[in-house]
Amino acid sequence: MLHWSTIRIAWRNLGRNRKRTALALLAIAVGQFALLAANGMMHGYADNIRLAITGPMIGHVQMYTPGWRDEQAMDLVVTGVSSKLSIIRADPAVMNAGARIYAPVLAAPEHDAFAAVVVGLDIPVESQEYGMLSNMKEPLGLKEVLIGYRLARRIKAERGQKIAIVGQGTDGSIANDLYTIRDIIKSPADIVNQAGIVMSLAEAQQLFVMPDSVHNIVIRTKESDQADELAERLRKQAILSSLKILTWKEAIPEVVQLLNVMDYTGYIVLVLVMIAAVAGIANTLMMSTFERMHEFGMLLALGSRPGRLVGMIMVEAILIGVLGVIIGSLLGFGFVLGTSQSGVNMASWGGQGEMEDLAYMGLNLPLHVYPRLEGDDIVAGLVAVALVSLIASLWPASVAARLEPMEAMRT
Amino acid sequence: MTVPVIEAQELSKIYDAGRMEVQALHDVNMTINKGEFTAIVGPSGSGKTTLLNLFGGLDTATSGSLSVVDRDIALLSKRQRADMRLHYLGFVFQAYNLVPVLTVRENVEFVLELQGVGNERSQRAREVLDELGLSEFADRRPNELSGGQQQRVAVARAIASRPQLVLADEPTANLDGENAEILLTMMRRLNTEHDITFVFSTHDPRVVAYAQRVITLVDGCVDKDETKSIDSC
Repeated sequence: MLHWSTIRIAWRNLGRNRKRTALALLAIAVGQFALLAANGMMHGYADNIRLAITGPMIGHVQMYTPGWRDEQAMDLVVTGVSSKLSIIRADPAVMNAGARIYAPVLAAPEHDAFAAVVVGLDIPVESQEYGMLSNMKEPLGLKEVLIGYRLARRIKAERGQKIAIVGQGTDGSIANDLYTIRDIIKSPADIVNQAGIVMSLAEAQQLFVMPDSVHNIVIRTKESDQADELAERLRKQAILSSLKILTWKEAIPEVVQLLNVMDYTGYIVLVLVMIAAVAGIANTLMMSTFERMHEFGMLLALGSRPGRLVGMIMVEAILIGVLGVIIGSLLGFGFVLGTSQSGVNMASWGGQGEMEDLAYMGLNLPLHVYPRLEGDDIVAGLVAVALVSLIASLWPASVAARLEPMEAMRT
Repeated sequence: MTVPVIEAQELSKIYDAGRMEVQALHDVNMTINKGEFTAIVGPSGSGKTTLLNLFGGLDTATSGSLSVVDRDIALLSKRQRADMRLHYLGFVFQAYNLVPVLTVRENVEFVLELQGVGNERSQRAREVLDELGLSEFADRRPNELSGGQQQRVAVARAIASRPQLVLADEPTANLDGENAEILLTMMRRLNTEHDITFVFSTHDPRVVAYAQRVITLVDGCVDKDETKSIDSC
């Protein structure tokens, strides 16, 4: 049984060598802070990836004619899009669904021609939050296009300039026309930034002779965990049976793996925190135990049982551990809370004020991260440090348990 | 009627000091009765502390028999010896040995808590501190007290558990004359008023003067055993 005086003595013992206790607390607190800060950043970055995937790029569910994704052939189209979209949009889990066209073209702003990709988009849908044009306020006018900022830099295109586009229609005809560059854009989809010429879906259908046809349909669900069930329901629709329907996890398993690895990274940091905690606590307790041998001997001489000394040491260990975790958690919370609104610009860590976003597998991953914590982050640290504290106390506790009063009092 | 509290027969203690053995006690025979105020004297290395340690069950004899408060020490386990110390013995050490992180009152209560005393713990601690004139120091930590005050607190702690026997190892060794006298007067009063048996080792002539019985050890053997009349102190 744990006595109140055991806790009181253990607590006050922490103040006997304040510098040493402070160092142990610091080691644990810094570890816990590192754990929370790293996890916060990791969650924030994973959110960026998830949003980039399920937002502008792939959506929660996407569908296309089998083979299109590998071959990107112009004629592998989804036909009868209007009726298909009506069915899809009628599902209660669907937030929005947009059709897209991707067509390789040559683009000539002046004399020279450059390879580019025309991206035909359902502008009202893509202008919504998480769409490919989520920042766009006004609709595109007739014969107006948007140019990805990297492509614009490469071909030296400017706002208001005319640009000639030459490609191939799905019927084999030459598709060409002259457009006005309405704006240079930075899209969450890297393909748009690198090579994209964005026009309205209707203009693209007309240019490439794709009446009521598109290359793929991208669907966003109301809740992120509805993707699997929605995909399952849509696969059962007769009108969609000829299409390949994939959830985002099925579409890009490599990125899902990357997200899992990011989760494991948190555990790696946790292990490092634990090592720091064990070292800090064990060192403090060993020194404190050996310094107090005489006192332990006296307590045994008075009639204390060895178990009481063991309890005292273990309580000291837990107090140091839990206090350290609380301090570290407060610091970690402070960091995450302080940066959750403004975010952290990881680009500036590279020594630049503004760096371009990171592109990975066609995704444009913003380097501006909004840290966020989950409940387990705190609990994991608390439980782990409490356990580790007990483990760290085993050695000094076993020393105390074996003490003979007279031998101890002679030291 | 005399009731023996300590009975030692042919008690010997040999320490193994590497290649050689050191005989600290040699066939000591001794009986200390309830209510006695006994000083064990002798030069350094004569075996005084060893004898007290054996009496307190802090160490075990190499040979001979020893009974303390009706218990054969040799038959007791480590845990039973700890229980005997807790419930029947009080200790006063040369270096005070109070728990530094506890206040005076908490130090006294600590032993009572070990004994399992419940609600009346603080009442009993207060009574003991009142009786020994230590109430004003109740909330101070040991490092805020003088040596003499600390030793008086050590005595308070020793008697708070209402022991039959108090063992004191050189209790005045670190005290000046005035404090030594205060301590001895207090111990003697507890001896007579509460019938607590006191056995203390010393080579301090002031302490010897207070003792009712003086046992002299020389080279681990009882050299003299003198009982004075109570009036003499």
